[in-house]
Amino acid sequence: MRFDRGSLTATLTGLGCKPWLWLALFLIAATVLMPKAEPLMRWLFPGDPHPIYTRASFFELTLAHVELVAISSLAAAVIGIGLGIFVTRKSGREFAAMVSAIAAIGQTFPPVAVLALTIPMLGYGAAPALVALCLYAIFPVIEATLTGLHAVPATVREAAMGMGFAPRDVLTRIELPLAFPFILAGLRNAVIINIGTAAIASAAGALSLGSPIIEGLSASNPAYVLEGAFLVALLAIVADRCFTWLEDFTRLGGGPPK
Amino acid sequence: MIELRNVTKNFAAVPAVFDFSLKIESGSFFVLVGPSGCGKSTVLRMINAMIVPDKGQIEVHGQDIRAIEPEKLRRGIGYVIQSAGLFPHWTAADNILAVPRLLKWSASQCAARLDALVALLRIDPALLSRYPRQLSGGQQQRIGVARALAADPDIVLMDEPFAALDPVSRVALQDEIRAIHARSAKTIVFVTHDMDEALRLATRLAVMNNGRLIQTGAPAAVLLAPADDFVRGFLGGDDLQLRLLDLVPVRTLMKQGKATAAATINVGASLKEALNLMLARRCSSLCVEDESGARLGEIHLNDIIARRDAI
Repeated sequence: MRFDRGSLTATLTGLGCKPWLWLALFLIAATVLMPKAEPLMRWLFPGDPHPIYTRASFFELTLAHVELVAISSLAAAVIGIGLGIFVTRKSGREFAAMVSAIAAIGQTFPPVAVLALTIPMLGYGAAPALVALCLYAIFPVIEATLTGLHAVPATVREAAMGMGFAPRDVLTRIELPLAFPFILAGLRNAVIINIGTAAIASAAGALSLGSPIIEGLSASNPAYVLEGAFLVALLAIVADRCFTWLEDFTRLGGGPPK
Repeated sequence: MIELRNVTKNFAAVPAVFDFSLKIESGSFFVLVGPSGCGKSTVLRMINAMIVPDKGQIEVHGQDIRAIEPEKLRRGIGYVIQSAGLFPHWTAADNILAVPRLLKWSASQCAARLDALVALLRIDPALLSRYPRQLSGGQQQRIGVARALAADPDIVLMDEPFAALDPVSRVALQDEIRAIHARSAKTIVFVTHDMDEALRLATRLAVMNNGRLIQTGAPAAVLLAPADDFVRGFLGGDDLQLRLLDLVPVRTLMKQGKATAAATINVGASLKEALNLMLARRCSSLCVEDESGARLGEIHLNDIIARRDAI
């Protein structure tokens, strides 16, 4: 989001073609202006005495939601990429099948069940939600890391080793840069999934855009559900566009390391 | 000098190389030839410790390679593989300078070396800023050879480097590498299954089969006296005489004196080329010239037919 780089992107895509920027501005506007939508909600849900969620501001909810997704995705990225690298090294190769299997189980395990299991250990709040989200996001990251590392041509690895690259140099200068587009795609999946799933964090008592949704469901107030769901969807779209931009940017600007 | 002593390597209990001993003299263009799967690539890859032998000993410049850190050993040995194996995310110039940069050469040293390599291998400078996917197969392998020579190693290992190229690129690169070898004191160990390529390049030839060394010697010596039926068959039994002609220069059979024939041939050309020209011009003798165009003498078809190769 640095504006000195903006000039490069602008020449490549044109200023008008930065949908992530416009969408992000729209999202911020939507969080701030949501209370102003009261007439619309009254018209959509006649007879609802309180059609706007007021326990926390929508800006606050969105920020808390982004925080949950960011922290859990970052942890999943570190763990997922780390495990992906580990099981493709000589020392970790025998764990490859096991790690894939465990990650796949993590993905199929419903996040609500993870919450149910972790709340007794970690208590109510953001902590159990972060654990559930992180477990959920590791699988796509590991899969993407493995796909990316396996996509590095064997001849390229062979040439690098034959020329005298140390194993560490092969990884950091050859394999990871070549696997990066794949890893980024996996992260994109993980983040988008997490934005949707993070709404359940409110079931554990954490603040998120799930708070109005859960409150709306339990209090039979569909307006709250709509408000929360709308912002979750918008956030997911913004994140998706950001990743598109990041993919383009790293592809076009990412030259060889010196 | 490279020396392998009683080297054995099995892959999952299947022997790839068995009790293999070989001496490669410094400065030789040593070609290891044999059918696919005979273990020749395994031998090559054991020299730079890409494969560790189960038994036996390998010495490079008189030092057991087990005593050298593999990365350090490899940085001193050029390595070219069949598909070039260029790094797709690096430009041609960055690919060429991979080893000098590993060795922490200064930017000015790198730039000077790049210029020298571009001249040496006749690389179009416009290609240097391109990525490998923007280069043809021949251009990629030319960059691959430049990369192997970048840090000016004494030894260059080449594993079927030209097998996947079109005939024009292949011959051009063969000529290039032969000329580079002739001008330097480098030891080149070259693996191929192509007998014509082996004979064109080798100063020493080693024929392998089933993980064993069958015969070594000068190319002509191996052609003239194949050790067994396998070698004879692999050398291309029926074409043997024609292949021998390829190894003998016109100089050896030239008769000095007056020259009246209609066609002329260079004194350094092979007898095969002379015979080819005679067939093309439907004549039985050729004038022989040197590089400057001075007539040195004549060569006669009868002499080619009656010759006795003394190797």
